[in-house]
Amino acid sequence: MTAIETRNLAIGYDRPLYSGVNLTLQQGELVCLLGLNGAGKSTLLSTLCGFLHPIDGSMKIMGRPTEKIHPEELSKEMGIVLTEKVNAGGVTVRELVSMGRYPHTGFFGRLTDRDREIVDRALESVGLSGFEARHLGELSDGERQKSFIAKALAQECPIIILDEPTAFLDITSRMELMVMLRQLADRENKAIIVSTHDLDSALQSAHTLWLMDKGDGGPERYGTIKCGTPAGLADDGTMEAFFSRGPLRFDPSAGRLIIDTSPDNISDSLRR
Amino acid sequence: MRFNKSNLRILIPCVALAALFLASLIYGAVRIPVGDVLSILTGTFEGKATWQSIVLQSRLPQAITAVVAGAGLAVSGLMLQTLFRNPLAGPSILGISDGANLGVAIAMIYLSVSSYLSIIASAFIGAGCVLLLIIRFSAKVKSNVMLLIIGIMIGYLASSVISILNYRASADKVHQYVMWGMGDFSGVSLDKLPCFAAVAGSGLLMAVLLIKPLNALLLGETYAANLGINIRRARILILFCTGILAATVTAFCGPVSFIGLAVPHIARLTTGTSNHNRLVPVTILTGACIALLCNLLTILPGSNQVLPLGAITPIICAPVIIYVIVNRRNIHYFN
Repeated sequence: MTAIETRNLAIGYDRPLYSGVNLTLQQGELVCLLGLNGAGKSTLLSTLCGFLHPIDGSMKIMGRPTEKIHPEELSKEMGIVLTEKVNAGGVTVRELVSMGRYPHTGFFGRLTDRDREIVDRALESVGLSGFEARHLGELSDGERQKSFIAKALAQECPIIILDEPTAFLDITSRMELMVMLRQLADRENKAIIVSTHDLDSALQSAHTLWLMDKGDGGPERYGTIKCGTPAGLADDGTMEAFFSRGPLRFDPSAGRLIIDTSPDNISDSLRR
Repeated sequence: MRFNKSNLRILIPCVALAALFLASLIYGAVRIPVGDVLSILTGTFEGKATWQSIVLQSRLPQAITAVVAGAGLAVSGLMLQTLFRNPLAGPSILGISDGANLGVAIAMIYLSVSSYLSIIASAFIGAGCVLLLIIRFSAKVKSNVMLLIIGIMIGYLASSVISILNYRASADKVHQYVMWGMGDFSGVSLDKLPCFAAVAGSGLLMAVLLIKPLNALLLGETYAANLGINIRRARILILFCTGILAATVTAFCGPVSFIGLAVPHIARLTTGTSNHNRLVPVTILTGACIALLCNLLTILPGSNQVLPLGAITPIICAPVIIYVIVNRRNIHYFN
């Protein structure tokens, strides 16, 4: 089933950064959103999450137009994980993941046995069984992000949106997190969008890439969002055009950025 | 109910509260033997009528006032700290207490009002005006830190108006106002007590009903909104509840500083949690205990002099704040 579908969406704060955006996200699909700083990744994600109203166009979440979805209902369709470190060190992992049940529980947030089972399963899915009683303040950054993903899983929503969840993680935790997201898409049929700067792991784990290029920023020029599989975008030269600048070259066969250290290139780019 | 660690953590403040409450009835500026106090309480005392009136008309309402005021201030501080995600937020910092102060200053100095009821009314009006301002700004200013700064600015404005009023006032009026400004749990007599307890009690009840949004707000507003919490409504309800509690206590007892700031930290340090399910009840109990303790310490041993409450609360509470700030890297609720 189509999880998110946008039609002629115009996004931005005051004036549109992107216009006529048509994107689809299927259940069981892991999308990596790539783009330079300031390309508007967070703007797009905020719009998809319903925190920012689109300037124009329409959006459907799980087949329903967004204007017909009450904000409290949206919390059952979509779970989010953010970059920023939350100062909630006095909350245990279990308490945090249990908060994921808030959209489903009553006035006092009291958990039923079924809620507890769901929390246990969410903890297991991210490999944090045994960490339940730890406080968030005692966790490593990677474990912390995993517990927030478990919170999103406990929300039991078909869609999970992550805004640069790997930004503060070391290289192994980054890889581990992306593998985990891929597994959640494949095994639990979640529709996942994750924005990242980590090209390497994105190319290896994503089903689909969304490349955001805001263009030259001229008054009437909108940016473009290119979509495709990692292999497809590498083969047709899109990746090369997107990433190659100065001494940096995208190598389609290796699937990664390489630095061209030949003297010509380096001095050329320094002179510029 | 199993007798585990978390039950113990709620039991200890309960026992402490009972002990401090009893001590407040037994110990005072006038020496009354313990046995006589107990027989006065059980209604079997046949002795000096003055002792009876001291225990029942003065010490008992004062102790109950301290319990209610301490609990109210502590919970309002807790809610503000969670809402603004700022460990140094408190009812006095947001300008709510200053608003009440200003109301009283205008009434006492400018309008020459001296009746007790009109002083209470003017504190209410002052605090309510600041609260309305804060709620209005909270609709316009998205960032909680900025809202906190606006609160501090409003507090400064109120203080500067108070200074100007003081400058123009006669010495005896200033003295009267300064005495009120010291804070006092003894001003609530038995006949005013039900009104005070009812208003503050409904504020406390409302705080208990806000536990779910308070917990969600620990994660920040974006996460809380994604968990289906109506942020705008939650903010207004929390500010309203805080305002009711702070204004009521300030109106009846004068400005009592530091309890709202320090007690939530004591509660977090003793329970080791930020989860409001446990934190709200423990904060209520600890607030009541600290207020009773401060009230007891105002009585100088071996004399019948009573120190102003405003001189005692910082002695108990300021070290807590300094401890928390110095050790914040080792206190996991900060990380």
